[in-house]
Amino acid sequence: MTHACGDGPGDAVLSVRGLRKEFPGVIALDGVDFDVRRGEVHALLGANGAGKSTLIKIVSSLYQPDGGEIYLEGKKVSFASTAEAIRAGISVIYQDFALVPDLSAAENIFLGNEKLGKFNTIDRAAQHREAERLLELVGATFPPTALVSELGTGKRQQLEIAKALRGQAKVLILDEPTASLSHAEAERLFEVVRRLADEGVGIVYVSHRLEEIAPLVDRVTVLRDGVSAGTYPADAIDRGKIVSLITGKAGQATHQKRQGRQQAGDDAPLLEVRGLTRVGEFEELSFCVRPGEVVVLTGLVGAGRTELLETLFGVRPAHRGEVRIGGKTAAISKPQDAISSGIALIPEDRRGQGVSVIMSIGENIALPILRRFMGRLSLNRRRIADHADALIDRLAIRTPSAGTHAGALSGGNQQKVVLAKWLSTDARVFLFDEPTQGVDVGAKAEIYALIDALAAEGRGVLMVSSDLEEVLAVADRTLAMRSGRIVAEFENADLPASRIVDAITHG
Amino acid sequence: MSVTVSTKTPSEAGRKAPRTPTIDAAVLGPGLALLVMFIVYSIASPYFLTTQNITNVLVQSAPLLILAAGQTFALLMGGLDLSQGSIISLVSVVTATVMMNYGIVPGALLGIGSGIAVGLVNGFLVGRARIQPFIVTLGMLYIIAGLALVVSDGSTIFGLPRPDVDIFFWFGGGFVGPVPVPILIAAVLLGLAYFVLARTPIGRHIYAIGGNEQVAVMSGIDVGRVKIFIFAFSGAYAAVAGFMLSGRVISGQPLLGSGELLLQSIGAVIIGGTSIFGGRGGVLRTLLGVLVIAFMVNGLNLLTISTFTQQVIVGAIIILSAWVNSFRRRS
Ligand SMILES: Nc1ncnc2c1ncn2[C@@H]1O[C@H](COP(=O)(O)OP(=O)(O)OP(=O)(O)O)[C@@H](O)[C@H]1O
Ligand SMILES: [Mg+2]
Repeated sequence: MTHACGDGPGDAVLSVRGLRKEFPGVIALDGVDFDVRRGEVHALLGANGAGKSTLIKIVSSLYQPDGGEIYLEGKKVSFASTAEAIRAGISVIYQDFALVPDLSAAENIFLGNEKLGKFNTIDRAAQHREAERLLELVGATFPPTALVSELGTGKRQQLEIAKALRGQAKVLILDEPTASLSHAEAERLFEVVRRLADEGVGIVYVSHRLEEIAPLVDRVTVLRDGVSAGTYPADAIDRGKIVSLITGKAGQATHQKRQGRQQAGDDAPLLEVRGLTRVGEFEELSFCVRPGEVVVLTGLVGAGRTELLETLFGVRPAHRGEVRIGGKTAAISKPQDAISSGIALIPEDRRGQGVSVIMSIGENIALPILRRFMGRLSLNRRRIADHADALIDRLAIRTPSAGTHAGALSGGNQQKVVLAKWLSTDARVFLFDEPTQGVDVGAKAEIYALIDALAAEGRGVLMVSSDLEEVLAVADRTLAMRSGRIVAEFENADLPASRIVDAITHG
Repeated sequence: MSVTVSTKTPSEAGRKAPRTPTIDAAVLGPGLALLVMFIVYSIASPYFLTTQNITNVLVQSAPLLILAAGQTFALLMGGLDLSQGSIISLVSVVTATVMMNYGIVPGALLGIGSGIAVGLVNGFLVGRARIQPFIVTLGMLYIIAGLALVVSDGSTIFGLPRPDVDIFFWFGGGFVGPVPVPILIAAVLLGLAYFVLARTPIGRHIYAIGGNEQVAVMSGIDVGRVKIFIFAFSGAYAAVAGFMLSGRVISGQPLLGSGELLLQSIGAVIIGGTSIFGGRGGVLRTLLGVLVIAFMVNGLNLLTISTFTQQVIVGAIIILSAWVNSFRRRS
């Protein structure tokens, strides 16, 4: 592998030179050079807010740069619209999904690029056939006629990829594609990505899961604070080096698992679930979470884990079964009930359920506990702002101020806002649904530390995670779910990952 | 909590920018329009910039301001209240009918109460039965307009008893010292609306629902209750506007609110820059929107431009202001 980084576009299918982008209060990109060669998988890494998504959005002309050039196959380009960029062969799968919920999978795939038949009407049959082929290619099991609103996060991701593959992509950019995929689905995706690379497509791959780098990637570029920290061949760089490039600190940000609970078993359970059932989603679930315990629910996407958490939080009604909090039966039929019984949910669908992107960070954080900030007559805005500032500091949320609207934050920082929001409540039981999805290595360690701290204070944590590394890092006890049932329980996580994988896939 | 989280070293890019005090960019459009209008009109008509004219315009626009303040609540949650005009008619005839027999106090209470009741019904249908606000209030627009005609038997109720009728008129055309009562009432209600939206939990919850309803639900907000509040509030404001308008004409008129007041109220909120998708905006913007409409019409009248042409111009301003807002959002 040659080291032709930094000079002319050369053999690169896509190159950018001196790219600059400023937002009010932040310099997102500050003169970035970056090349993708034909047939390579090029990882773009960096901490939350480093500028990865911004770079991608400029390349696909969703944003206009404030400076710098873009070359496609050696020719300088400047697209007027995303449609033009797509036609030129640049396909992007965004971090925030861009699907229309009320259209079918096939209609979404061909949105804006419909296959036309006679009299310029849509040729549904042709679209259906092509959609079927694309969906199979990405390993999807749902039909082209499925409505997007019926699909879970994992399936939507597959659909996004299918959509990106429709045209003649020269460059395929994936912004954190595995964030919401299960292990098996991710493996499947890697195959597709490798195959496309072999066919000559240049692939840009953004991820916070460093364990994916070695098996998949040819070269690595790290962005730090809007500047490139260098491009390296993947086989010439190890994990420690990558982490220090991302965080800008020497040494490795690894999570020291805290000492497991000492007196497991003798405390009365904080959360007790008996025979909980939602027909078609999960059946007869019984388990408990003790004070100071971190219980992880793992399993494949579609195993019913998110549905379980949402039921515990009152978003969906249970059909049968009983939930007890601190020994008392809790009748939970809506989120207010859950919150007043001391439950908090950090949801998986961050932009749909977690943060309101048009509200300020401060308001988002204060939302569940606004009443606490009532002065004699009215809300005390000073105290709301102070409260937000304290949490912004504590969680190291990267933002110019608490008044910035949450939509301007990078994905990982939005997740921290959701965490901040629920940390302020007095919840005793925390439900986390894939809390480190899209969170950088440094922040991941911080979130694990927070979870540990919650447990150390005697609260109970029930967490859904598909990330095996994470399961092993934080769990006191692991429940493996498969098709709506708990199929195995592991007392502590000092066990080979293969046993968990075995349980969730074969039950 | 005793969590220690490493704070990242402040770095080159992504650093905090010095915060410059900014005025809400949304008010620039209507603010500028108002300024230009004042300049052009005062040059074109010597009468425009007189105390009497300005006072007149403000008195005339007081009911619209009250109406639009209520409407702002509905738009902020991403909804709409189409029943405001019909509420005005209903309040007018109920007040007059009751007053005829029992005097001003029962008349006012039952009249305004009937408007609040309509708002509550709207609220329950939107918040608990979960029907779209557009549909609920469109249906209500018809039902209540019809009810007003039924109550009054289709004719105007004149000849209200003295001395009650004088008090009634005071609300629509009286003075407290030098200040016209309608301006006073509108100012107080505007202040109250501002306070509720900006400074109370339920006000912030309205913004949260308009911004992302699902997030609001997941944050433990009783979304249904907030919606009931919104429509009751809008109904109450429409009722006060109806009471004031009836007082001015000292009669009960079943078609009092069937004119263009409703559309003006929605138009004023939009001109002010409140998003029709909810979550962004506020009543101070609406105040600007009302002033733009009121002075625009007044100036055109002074220049003896026909009401037909005036309609064309008001419509154009609504579209123009939405356009200006979309520029701001894109930049
Ligand atoms: N539309 C926007 N308006 C204002 N600021 C923005 C906007 N989009 C991004 N930013 C800011 O630009 C910086 C870079 O954000 P970007 O989304 O590119 O980060 P990222 O590397 O993709 O992070 P993550 O891994 O968390 O997704 C951040 O500080 C972010 O707050
Ligand atoms: Mg990103």
